[in-house]
Amino acid sequence: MIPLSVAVRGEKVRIMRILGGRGFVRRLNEMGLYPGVEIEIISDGQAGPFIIGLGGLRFGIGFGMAKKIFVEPLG
Amino acid sequence: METKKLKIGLAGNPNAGKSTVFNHLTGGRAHVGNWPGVTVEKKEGKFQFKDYEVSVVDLPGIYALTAYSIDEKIARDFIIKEKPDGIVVIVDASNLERNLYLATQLLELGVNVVIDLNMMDRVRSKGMAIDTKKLSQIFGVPIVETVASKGEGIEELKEAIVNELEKKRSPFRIDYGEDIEMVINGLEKRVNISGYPSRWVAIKLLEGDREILEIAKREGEAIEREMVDNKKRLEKHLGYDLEAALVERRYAFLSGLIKESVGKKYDLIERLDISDRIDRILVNRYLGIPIFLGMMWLVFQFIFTLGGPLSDGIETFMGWLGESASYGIESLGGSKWLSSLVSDGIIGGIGSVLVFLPPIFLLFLAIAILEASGYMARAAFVMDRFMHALGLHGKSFIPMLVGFGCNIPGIMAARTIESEKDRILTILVNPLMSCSARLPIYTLFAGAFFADNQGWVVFSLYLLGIVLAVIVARIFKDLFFKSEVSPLIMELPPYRMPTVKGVLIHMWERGSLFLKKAGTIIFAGVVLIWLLASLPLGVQYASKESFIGQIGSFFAPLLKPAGFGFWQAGVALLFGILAKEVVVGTFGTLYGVEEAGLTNVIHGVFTPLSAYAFMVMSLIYIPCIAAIATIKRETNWRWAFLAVGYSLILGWLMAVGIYQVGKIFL
Repeated sequence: MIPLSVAVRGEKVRIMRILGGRGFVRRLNEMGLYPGVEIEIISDGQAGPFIIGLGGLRFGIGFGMAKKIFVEPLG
Repeated sequence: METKKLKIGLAGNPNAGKSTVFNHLTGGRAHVGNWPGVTVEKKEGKFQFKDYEVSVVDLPGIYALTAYSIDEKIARDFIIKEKPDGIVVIVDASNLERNLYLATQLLELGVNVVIDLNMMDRVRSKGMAIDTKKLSQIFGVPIVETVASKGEGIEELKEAIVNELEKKRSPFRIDYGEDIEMVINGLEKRVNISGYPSRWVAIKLLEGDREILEIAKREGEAIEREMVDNKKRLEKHLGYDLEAALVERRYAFLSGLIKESVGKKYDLIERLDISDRIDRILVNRYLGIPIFLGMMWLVFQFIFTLGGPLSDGIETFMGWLGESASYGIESLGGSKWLSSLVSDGIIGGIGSVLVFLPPIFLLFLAIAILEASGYMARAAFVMDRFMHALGLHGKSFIPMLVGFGCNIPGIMAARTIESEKDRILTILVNPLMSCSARLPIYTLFAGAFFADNQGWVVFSLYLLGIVLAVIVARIFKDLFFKSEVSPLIMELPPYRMPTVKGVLIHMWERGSLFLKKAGTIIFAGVVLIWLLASLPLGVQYASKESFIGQIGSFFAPLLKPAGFGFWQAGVALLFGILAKEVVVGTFGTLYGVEEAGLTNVIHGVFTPLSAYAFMVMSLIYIPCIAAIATIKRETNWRWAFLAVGYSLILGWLMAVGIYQVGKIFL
């Protein structure tokens, strides 16, 4: 398990855990980001803000937030 | 035939095309206001169809119906308390799974729903085929396909709203799996809250919904204890968080549904080549900020180079109108007092509202274009790290920057910040940005006393404003918004070409709000100051004997520690509340000289040190009436009073501090 903040562009990962207050975790869950979901790193924090892809959707994630989302790299 | 009335709400995820559907349904004529108690925009419109009159309320863009975020609470309260006849859920059909989540939430609540599959053109171009009939069967609700950006399917949607909404349907339920269902069933029998479906109450209790828990508690404390036990047991069994489990089951239901009704199984991670490639440039680590600054420079130029001449034109015209009116009144034998009331008071008052219209409408035009194109969401991320270091939000940057032109559009630009607390902070410190109306004061005094270093002196004032804004924001954050951290996670819509109609409607909605609400306060303020300057009857306008002169004289001793303790300075500052650019003109009036002769006059009464203190005072003390009115309009009186109070105290302390410390060294 690694924090999202160290994942790199193009990598496919599965969300394992989200740390944070109840409201925050819940909000992410309902946006479709919950444990088990597979996402792709469209742009990583090295090259600017984090952008992740979930289906045809794109989410921007602040750097502080990316440290609180733990993921498992896929293959 | 008698017209029947229906009231519906439009709900949907952000970026699902909700406002476009709203504009098409209502023909773009909306009543814009605020939801009670909060500054979230509320739009209401109407349409006629057959023998129905349907009023449409546009709900905020939401993902679910929890009571955690303000937007979701508003939507939920609307549904539960105002009991609309139904809700139209606008769904981005190209992202069906995620967008239908909200629909399942509404259906669980037992609301009459029409689902609008919007953006069908994108579905077709992706080669997806949605079996709408099947989908409609499973959900048990009418489903309409639209392409709102082109106006397709709107008539069908109206038809469905009028004809289908009130048909009785079998209740919708998601199977949460044996273990959870058992607990839900048990709870359902125990808890009963009138007005809510009991299964929904049970599910919400399991989710730990605070509001429902509060209501349920009245029926016995035992519920809560039982809940905690149930939850612990279930979580132990499931191996993880129950709340996440419930969300997951809903998504599992949706994903099954989509397998059955969507023809082509599309990739999990879809390619958005063009949009992703643009993002690689626009939010790039090195290019992101320069590109953003470039964009902001364009916006600034757009607002003030284009708006400036327009405002000047309005000012000249109103000046001419005022003179003609006073000439007319006096030549008809009217008294000087009456002519002054009409020209300085009323026409002057209307003029001071109208001059703000060009920059405000242009600002909202620019913001509407940035929002509709998809860039605005990115801009927040580009500036996020930098602004967070300053204790502000990524989206605070634009209001601050616009504030350098004029604080009024700057304060209004804060509307784009979703978090109420970040928005209020941004608004409160905005008047510290040296607006263009303060520049004439700076140039007069800096030119008179610091001719060799004029540029540096003016620059130091701009910088002082920024530094103070950062400090004040920090202090206010600690004082008023302790616990709040607003994490930045946002959906980034794909880049799109804004439509002319959509952008213009948006500009008009926001701009006209200023005219209606802030306009009246500004007008009243101008008339009040005019009265103070003209009364008691018979005094010369703004002379020492007028009320305003007396107030100025009264305050003069207070200004003495800052180095400018004479009544003219007091009156000039009082008039400055009207509009900062008036300060220079007031000195002219009071000393009876043209602006060109002012340099000599102020050389007589100011020293370089007290001149600098006066400039600092002009920068900080009390925002102009228009700014106060706008702050009130965007927040409430409490924050408007705070803005007046803190700026007055801070301005005085800074001016006195600079003068007193300076005296030691000079």
